Order: sequence, then C-alpha cells, then structure tokens
Amino acid sequence: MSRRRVGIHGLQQQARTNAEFQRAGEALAHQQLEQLKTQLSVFKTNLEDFARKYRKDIKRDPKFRMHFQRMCTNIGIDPLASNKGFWSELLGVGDFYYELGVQIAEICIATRERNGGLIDITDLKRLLERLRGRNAQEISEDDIVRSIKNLKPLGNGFDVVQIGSRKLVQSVPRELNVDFSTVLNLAQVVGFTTIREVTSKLNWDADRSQRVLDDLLKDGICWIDMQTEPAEYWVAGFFADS
Amino acid sequence: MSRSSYTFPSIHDFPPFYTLQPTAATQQKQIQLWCDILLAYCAATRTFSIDLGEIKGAGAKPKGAAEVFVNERLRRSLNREGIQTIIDALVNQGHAEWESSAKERCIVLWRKPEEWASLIYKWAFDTGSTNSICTVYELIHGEGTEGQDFHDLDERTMIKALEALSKTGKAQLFTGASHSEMGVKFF
Repeated sequence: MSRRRVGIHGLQQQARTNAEFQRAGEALAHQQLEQLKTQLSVFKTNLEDFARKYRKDIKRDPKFRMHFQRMCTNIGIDPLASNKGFWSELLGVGDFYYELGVQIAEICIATRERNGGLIDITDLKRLLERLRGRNAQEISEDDIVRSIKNLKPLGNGFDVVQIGSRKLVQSVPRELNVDFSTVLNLAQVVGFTTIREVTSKLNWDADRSQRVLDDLLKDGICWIDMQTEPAEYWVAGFFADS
Repeated sequence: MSRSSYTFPSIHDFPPFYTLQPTAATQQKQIQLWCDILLAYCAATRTFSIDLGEIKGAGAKPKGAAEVFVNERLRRSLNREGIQTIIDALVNQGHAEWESSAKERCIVLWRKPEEWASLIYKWAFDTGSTNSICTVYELIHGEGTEGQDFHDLDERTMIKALEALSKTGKAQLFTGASHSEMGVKFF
C-alpha cells in the first residue's frame, strides 16, 4: 500500500477520478430513468388495458370508479382533464361528470330558496338519484365531489364544505365566515340551535349570538320555529328533503 | 278515495314550517310549498272547501282539509294569519275563492273551472249529449256521468265550470228553482 502522492500529478489524478465518478453516476442515473420510463409506459399500457377490460365496471360501480380514479391520480393521469382524448373516449367519464355537474347545479338552484344554498351531500345524492331515474348509472359521494371540482372553473361558487361530521354542498358564492361555521357546527348535532345554546356553549355575548342567528335567517340558511321557547333556529340544509 | 291516499312530504314534519318565516325569499318559498301541499291533499281526497273555524289550536285535530295545517306529532300548527296568507296566495293563483269577506270558509279549486269545463264538454261531446238539455243534478249525480272525474263534483265548482263553458259559447245555462235544478244545454 503506497502513501497518497502529493503535488501536481496527485491533483490531476484526483480530478480525473472525480470526472470518472461523475460519468459513471450519470450513466447510472440515465439507465435508471430509462428503466423507470419503460416501467411507467408498461404501467400505462396495463392501465389502459385494464380500463378497456373493466370499462363496464368503471361506468357502473361507483366504488370501483373511485378506486380507479385514485389510481390514475397517483400516477398523474386525470381522465377528467379533457373531454377529448384517449381516456374520455374510452370511458366516457368526462361526459359522465359533466352531466352529473349539470344535474347537481339544477337541484342546488331548485332548492336554494328553501335551504339558502346549503344542502347536505347525502340529501343531494338522494335527489340526484331520483332525478336521474332508476336506470341511470349509480353514483357515489365521491362522484359528486369530483363533479363539483369540475364546475369550479366556471366560477359559479359551487363548493363542498365540511361542518362537523357533515359534508355540505354550497351553491351560493359566499365565504362561510368563522361565526357562521361555528354556529352551524353547533346546530348540526340535532339540526337546530337556540340563542341560549349559542351563548352558553360558545361563550358569546347575547349581541353577537343574536347577530349571527339573524344573519343565518337573512341568508335563508336557517328557518325559525317560534312555537317553542326559546325560539329554535333550524338549518334547512340539515333537514332531509324528499 | 280515502283520506289516507295522500302522504305529506317531509317538509310537513319540519317544525319551523309552522311559523311564517321573517325572511322574504324563504317565506315566499314556504307559502308556495304550503299551496302545493293543500292542493295535492284536496285533489287526493276530493275535498272542495276548507272551514277555518275547524282549527282550534295546536294539538287538536280538526276535521276536513284544515287538518293539513296541523301536525299533531310535532304539536305544531299554522296560525290563522298564516293560513289566510296561504289561501290568499291560492286565490291570487286562481286556485281558491273566499266564500265571504270574513275569510272563514273558502272553496278550493285544485282544478280550475276551465279545466273542469273541458272535461265536462269532452264528456258531452263523446256521449252525444250536445244539443239536448240536462240538469246540473244529473251531471253531478246521474248514472250517465259515473266514472267521470267530475262525477260527485262540488256543486259550486260545477256551476263555475258551466259558466266558463257558457262564456266561450259552448253551453247555455237555464236557471231553475235551485242550483241543482239548473239546466244546461251543450253546443
């Protein structure tokens, strides 16, 4: 074993070694990338074959469709991205979600005066199923959420908001402010709340509580029941519609 | 048809439905929902009038169509002012008429007189009863109209329908001693 040489020669030697290492590294990286590309293209082909093979199931079974959607998202393919192109032509999913989106808009607008543009997603799903008829493709909540994402670029204010354990679809362009959400969260347990409950549970003063409840009434989100003491503020969107 | 043949929609079990809503847009929707329920109920049970005197307050079930405005289970009922608002809306739409200015009783026209009129005229035409005279009583209770939707129709509604026909020149009315004895000739 010889001692590491010093001087010009030594430095040149070191530089050469570094360059060689770099070349080897590059070659390796290139090789890996090539391999990955092949793998991905194989995977994509398989996915396409899979989609072709299970096309019926994807269309028919909402659970299956959700899993397929997730799988596609994971590898950066969005079958919804365009109405043209391979995926939508193969599956017709683009049309499916656009159609569903139109139906969602229809129901939300029809029930808006009644619920202030805030509807429980399970309720919406039931109304959608009725509108679509018995022979239509089955739909899931996941489909509804996806369709609403599709509607977003239109800028019509459709959004999905989470209030406690409930998912609500909002069809009126408005920011649900913190006070609104807090009170809705309180009301979602039994479907209504009272000024007494708001002041005691949230530790708000009477003025603030009354103002928020009044605003909820004015926005059409709440209905008031005055045949009880204290008056009850019912969130229409929490009450199942039939 | 039995009373039970009408099922109330779920909004009928929504407690605030029995309080007239202070927000204008909500109230407008609420009134329309009430109108729809009342008309559907009357059509399903073939009810032709409502007596508001039947409504005694929450918890007591009134007779006739007034029961629409009471929910025993929830112990809620729409008050007199609310009911009058609903019926005023129906009157505006041509689906009801107050019997007096006291607004105590009203006729509910779940089919408008013109709609009854065309049903009656179609029957007259189909059975070759044009150009002959029959009484209002026969039209309502006679064997000849059995199975027709207007068989057993409320007398006042029948007269309104016939008046509508007479206005368009499809019938002529002949006065009698009472409404039942009135005669009608179809052209």
